[in-house]
Amino acid sequence: MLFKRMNKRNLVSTLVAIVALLAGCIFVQNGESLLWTKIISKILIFSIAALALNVVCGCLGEFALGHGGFLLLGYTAAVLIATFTKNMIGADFYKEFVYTTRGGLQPLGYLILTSDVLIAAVITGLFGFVVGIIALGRLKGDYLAIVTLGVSLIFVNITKNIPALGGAQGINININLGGSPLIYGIMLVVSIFLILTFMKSRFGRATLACRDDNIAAEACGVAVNKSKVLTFTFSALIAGLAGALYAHFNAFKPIEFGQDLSIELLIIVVLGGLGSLTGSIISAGIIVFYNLWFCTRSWVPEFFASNPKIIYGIILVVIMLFRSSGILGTAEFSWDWFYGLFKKLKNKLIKNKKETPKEVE
Amino acid sequence: MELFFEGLKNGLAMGSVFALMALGYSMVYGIVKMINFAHSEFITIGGFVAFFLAALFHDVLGWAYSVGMLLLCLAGAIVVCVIIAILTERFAYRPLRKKGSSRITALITAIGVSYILNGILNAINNKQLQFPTFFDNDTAFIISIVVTAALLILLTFFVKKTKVGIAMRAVSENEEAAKLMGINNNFIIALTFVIGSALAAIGVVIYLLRVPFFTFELGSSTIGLYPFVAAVIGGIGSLPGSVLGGFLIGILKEFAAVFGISAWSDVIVYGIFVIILLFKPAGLLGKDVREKV
Amino acid sequence: MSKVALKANNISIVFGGLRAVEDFSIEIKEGELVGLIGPNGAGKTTVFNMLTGVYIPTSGTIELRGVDVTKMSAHNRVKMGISRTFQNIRLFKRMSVLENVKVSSNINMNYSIFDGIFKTKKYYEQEDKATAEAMEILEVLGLSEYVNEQAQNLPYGKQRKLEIARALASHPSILCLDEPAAGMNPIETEELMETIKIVREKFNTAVLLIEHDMKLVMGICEWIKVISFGKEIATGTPDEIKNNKEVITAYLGE
Repeated sequence: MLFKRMNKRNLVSTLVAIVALLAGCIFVQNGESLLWTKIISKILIFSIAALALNVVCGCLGEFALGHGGFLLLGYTAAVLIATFTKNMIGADFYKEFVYTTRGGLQPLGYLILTSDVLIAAVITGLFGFVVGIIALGRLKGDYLAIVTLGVSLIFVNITKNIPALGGAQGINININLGGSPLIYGIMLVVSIFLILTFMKSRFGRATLACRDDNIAAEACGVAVNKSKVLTFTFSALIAGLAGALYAHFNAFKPIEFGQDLSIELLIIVVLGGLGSLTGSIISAGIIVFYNLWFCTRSWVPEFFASNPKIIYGIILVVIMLFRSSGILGTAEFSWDWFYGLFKKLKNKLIKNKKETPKEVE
Repeated sequence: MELFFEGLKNGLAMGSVFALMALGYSMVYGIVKMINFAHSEFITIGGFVAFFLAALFHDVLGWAYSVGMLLLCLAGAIVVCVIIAILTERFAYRPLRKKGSSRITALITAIGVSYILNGILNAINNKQLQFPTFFDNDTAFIISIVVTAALLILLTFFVKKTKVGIAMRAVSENEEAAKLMGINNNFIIALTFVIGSALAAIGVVIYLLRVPFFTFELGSSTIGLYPFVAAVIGGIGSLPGSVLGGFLIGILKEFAAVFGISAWSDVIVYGIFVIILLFKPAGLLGKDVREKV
Repeated sequence: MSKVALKANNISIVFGGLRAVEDFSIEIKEGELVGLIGPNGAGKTTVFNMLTGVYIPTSGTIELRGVDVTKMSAHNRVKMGISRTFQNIRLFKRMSVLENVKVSSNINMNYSIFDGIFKTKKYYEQEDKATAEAMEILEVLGLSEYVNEQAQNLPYGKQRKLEIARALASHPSILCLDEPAAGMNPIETEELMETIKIVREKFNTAVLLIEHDMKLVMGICEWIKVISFGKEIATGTPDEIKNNKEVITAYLGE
């Protein structure tokens, strides 16, 4: 099936990398440092969200400025499902079999977390489908960006106004759902897997064709509108997944999913490189690390922590003016490149060895 | 019934403010073909300068509140807004135009500029400040309507009949051709930003006459995307459209308050925004443009 | 009796107040090599756009392999057997040469998303077949060495050929080429003439081409249609057209 064709070296390398990542997650999960658990968790979740946005902006070439809205949907759905499940099963059962005494999760807890997150993702995907169908066929470029922003603000405001969905304080405020960096890590791997296979398929090919030239794509038989809606729905699903995980990570108010979050995600994607999945992940790491670690250091002037917008604004303007393709452009990590580095290093060492005998003479 | 007229009056007053700011968005989009996200920060800057000058004249120099002082504050606001607009255009937007960047790149850059300005303003002061009261509500209402109508007529005349105005329309239709006809595109575009930001300053001062509270989120949150939505609904690029859109949004917002559902006004406004864009992407009074194959 | 690949019956299109094309008809049989010529602005590309579905004619009908496609969307017409190239090359710039060609293969594939994600047998079968076909087409067009290059890095002449290669991957019964020789020197044009003939034979497709290069048109077209100001003014063999008074007038004026 899937692995039949993979180069043996690459397959083994990938498995080792996944195991290493998950081991790291487990380590962080059971570790003592709350700060690092927070940082790594947020990086994992934001990576997923950034990947989702990159699929639409980088691979499809359509700018959506409202992915914060999809995160909110996933978030709200996850909390609703989790609370419903908890109420059905009963708080005592939860204390016995779902949560551990340390505030972590037992195996059943993992199962519940995974389920509510996946269901929330699918629900968000459905919303994405509706938004996509309505908006993508009719709107282009900056208009699409503004409408998706408007739609996300509608979601935020509806949620803010309906107490059942959380109200202004947020639906999660008194509920601890129990999180797990291991699950975030697994979901990141799953997301990467889904996106990579999607892009390598005929659907991904159609997506890239739409990005490069809508009209030529139609002339080649690509149902452009269908393709756009499909890709957008897929992106919303992954964004919903990120949002659902976010609910297990911490409690947030609806307003935190508004314009600021959408733009923060856009910055991550643009900084990393439109179309580069590796870039989005690295960039998510940089931004989260900057916010949660760098800005909280005592040796960093307070200016940075209290004025995130200025730094973000400067990043955006500088990138757009000087390197609009972002840090990585469209380059992706590949095992060939990785092992190629070793080869280069080896060659360099051999070359040096060859030269020394001559000098001695 | 009384409530209806009260709401209508407030709606028109608020709407005229949105209209003036929408005109600014509209002119820039119509001629430079970019959404100047930083417009909301021009609004805040204008408000801040007006407040600062009012405080300066009254508290420091001991002058009495008067129409004259108001006009000076307004003039100061316009001047500073215009300067910021020119600098933004020159250093952030012009290099992109030169490179031939896409519209999305311009939009993202505008967002960046808006963030930088917002950040700087926030760093200066993030408390709420009170603007002095110059007029009672009714006079303020009349002033806002009159000023908006006057500026709309002035701008329409300017764009349709004056040489510079026609040059602006030429640049809006076809930049290359305009350049070949001897029009200095850079000047025209800078002038467009000047007019746009001046409108923003006038708009915010009129707003402060009726709602005298100023925070540094004025442009980005309190007034927020409403003028932009107004411009798009009315037909971005169309002057009467922006004014129409502005009044529409103002009335919608006030009636939402009258019926006690102002918490939902965002949903209503953005909802109508999305719906109109879906069925009439060019806006109520705008024109449709197709791509040639 | 050869089957009809494409038939247009009195198609017209009006833009605003302008009658861009009026009462245009054409019937192309399988395997024919036909030219469409006329002075600049005559409406040739507009005709192409109507045939391929970019515009819907305001009157008249279009049939592909006997099926009425007049109101059909552009991408569905490709399934009916028509494909095209563009006057100003429209390649998928950031995709590789092979991927460009395989975009057209999509209509011949029907595996589901599930197949795509889990890379089932069906996925590999269809993708491998498409890749093999694409490689074959690229070979015929002399582009094999560029297989993994980004389309935008190819030299101009090769880009034009790539567009033709891409149009072939959908198994068209009629291939519409919009000024394929634009910007080519005489040697490249000669090569293109050979390529078009080979393509017609090897891939069993009719060819309708818009061209300004008379050497190419007269050299390979079996018959030619001439339009001017949106109206048809002559149809015939290259020799007949060459000596047609109206055609000469249209190009050179009175």
